[in-house]
Amino acid sequence: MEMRKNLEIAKSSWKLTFKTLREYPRISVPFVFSALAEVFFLIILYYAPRYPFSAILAPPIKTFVGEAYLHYPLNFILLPRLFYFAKVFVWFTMGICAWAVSSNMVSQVQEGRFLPSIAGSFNRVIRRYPALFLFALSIFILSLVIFKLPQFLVMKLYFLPRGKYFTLQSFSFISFFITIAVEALLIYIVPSIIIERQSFFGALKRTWALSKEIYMPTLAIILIPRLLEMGVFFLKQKLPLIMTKTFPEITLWVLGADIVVSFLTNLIVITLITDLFLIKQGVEKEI
Amino acid sequence: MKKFYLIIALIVSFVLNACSSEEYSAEKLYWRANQQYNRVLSNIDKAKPVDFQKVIVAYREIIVKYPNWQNTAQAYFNISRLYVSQKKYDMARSELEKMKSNFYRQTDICANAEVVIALTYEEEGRWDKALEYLDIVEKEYTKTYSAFLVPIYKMRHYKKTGEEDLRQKTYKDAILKYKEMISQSPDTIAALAAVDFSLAAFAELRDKEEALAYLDGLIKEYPSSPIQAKALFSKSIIYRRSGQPDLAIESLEEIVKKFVNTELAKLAKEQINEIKKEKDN
Repeated sequence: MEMRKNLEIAKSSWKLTFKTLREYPRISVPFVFSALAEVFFLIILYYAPRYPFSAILAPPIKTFVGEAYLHYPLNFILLPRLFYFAKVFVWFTMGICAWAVSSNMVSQVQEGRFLPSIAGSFNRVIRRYPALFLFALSIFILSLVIFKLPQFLVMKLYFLPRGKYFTLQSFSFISFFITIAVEALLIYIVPSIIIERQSFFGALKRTWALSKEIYMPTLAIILIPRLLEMGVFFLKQKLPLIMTKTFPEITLWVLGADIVVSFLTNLIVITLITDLFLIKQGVEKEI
Repeated sequence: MKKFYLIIALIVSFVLNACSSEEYSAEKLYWRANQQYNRVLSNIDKAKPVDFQKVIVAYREIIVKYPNWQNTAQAYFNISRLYVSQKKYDMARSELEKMKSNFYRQTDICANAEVVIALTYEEEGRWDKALEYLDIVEKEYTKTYSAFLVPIYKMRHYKKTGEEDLRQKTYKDAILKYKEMISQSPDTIAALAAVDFSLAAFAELRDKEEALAYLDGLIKEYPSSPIQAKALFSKSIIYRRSGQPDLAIESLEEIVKKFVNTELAKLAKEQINEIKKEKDN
C-alpha cells in the first residue's frame, strides 16, 4: 500500500515537472548560464598549453603535475582532472545559485504566476547565499568522503593479497550510488532555504523530517535522471583507454557530454524536487 | 540580436584561433604519424607499400612544416626505419644524411645517425662500410652515448659471424675504455652510464662471474661514492635475475648500511621488500 502511494507521488511529480518545463522553458536559464560557465572553463583548460593561456596556466601545471602534461597528447589525460576543479568552482558559485533560482521559479509557477522572474529569484537567492553555500559545501564534502575514502583505504591495503578486494573502479560505482542516496536525504534543503526562507540548520531539520516521510519517492525520482549521469561517469572512468583506442580529442567530447547531461539532470532533479516539496507543503497545509 | 550573437561567436573563434602554438601543432602531427608508424610496424608482414608511403608522408609533413623542432630528427629516423623495413637501404641512408645536415650542431643526433647508417650497411651485408661509420662515431663523437655503444654493436656482429677472437678483443677494449671513463670522472652521470655500458658488454658475453668481479672491484675502488651504490644495485639485479634472492638482499642491505638516511637507502629498502614478497609468493 505504502509502495503504491509512493509510486503515485513520484508519477505525479514527473508529470508536473514535464508540464512545467514545457510551458516555462525559462526555468532552465540559470542552468544554461551555469553550463556556459563550465564550457568557458573547459575551453580555457583545453587551451592551457598554448599562448596566451599558457602564460598563466603552464607554471602551476609544470610545478604540480610535470611539464609532460603541457604536451600533446598527455594534456588530454590531465584535462578531466583540471576540469573537475573548474566544476567544483562553478558548483560553489553559479551552480548552487542555478539550483536555487530555478527552484524559486518553479515555486512561482505553482503559485500561479504567469511569468516566473529570473531577476527577482536571483535577488532572493543572493540574500540566502550563505545558507546555500553551506549546503553546497556539505554536499561537496560528503561526496568527497564517499568517493575518496574507499579508494584511500584500498590504496592503503593494496599490498595485501590481490583478488580479495574490489577494484578501485567498482568502489567508484558503489560510491556513485551512495552519493545519490545521500543527495536524496539532503535535497530538500534548497527549496526549504528558498521557498520557506529557513536557515541552513532549519532547512536541515525540515529535510530530515520530510525524508522520514517521502525518502523512497525522492530516491526514485532522483535515481532516474542520475542514471543518465552514470553513462558519462563510466566513460570518464575509461577515458585513458578510450583515448588510446580512438584519439585524444575524444576527451573533449566526453567532458562536453558531461556538461550537457549535468545540465539536463540538474534541471530535471531540481524541478521534480521542488514540485514534490510543494505537493507535500500543500498536503501539510490541508491537514 | 542574431547579429550580435554572430559577432560574438566570430570574435571568440578568432581569439581561439589565434591561440595557436607551433609546437603543439607539431606534437599533434607527430603523435598521429607515430600511431600510423606503430600500426604498420606491428603488422609489418601484411603492410603494403602504400601503407609505408602514408606514414612517410605523415612524417615528411612534420619535416617540411617544423624543420627545427626537436622531434623532427626522430621523424627522419622513423622514415629511415620504414625504408630499412622495405630493404631500401640507400633511401634510408639518404634520409639520415639529410637529417645530419639539418641537425649538424647536435652531436648526439648526428652520432646516432652515423650508427644507424652503419647498421643499415651491416644489414645489407657490407660490414666493411659499417665499420667505417662506427669508427667515425668512436673518433669524432667521442663523448656521445652512441660512441659508448659502438663496442656493443661490434660484439653483437662478431657473435653473429662467429668471429670469437675479434669479439673478445672488442670486449676487452670496451671494458678498458669504460674503466678509464669511470676513473677520469667518477662523480659524474657519465661514469654511472659507463657502469651500465660495462654491464651490457658483460651481458653480451653472458659472463656473470666476470661481471660480479668487476662490480666488486668498483665497490672497493670507489668507497662511499655513487659508483659504489650503482655497483651494489647492479649486483643485486644480477643476483635477482639469476635466482639468488638472498644474495640480492645482501647487496641491497649493504646500501642501506653505507648510505644511511639517503634516497638510495630508501630505494634499496623498497627493493628488499619487493624481493622478500617475491620469495613469499
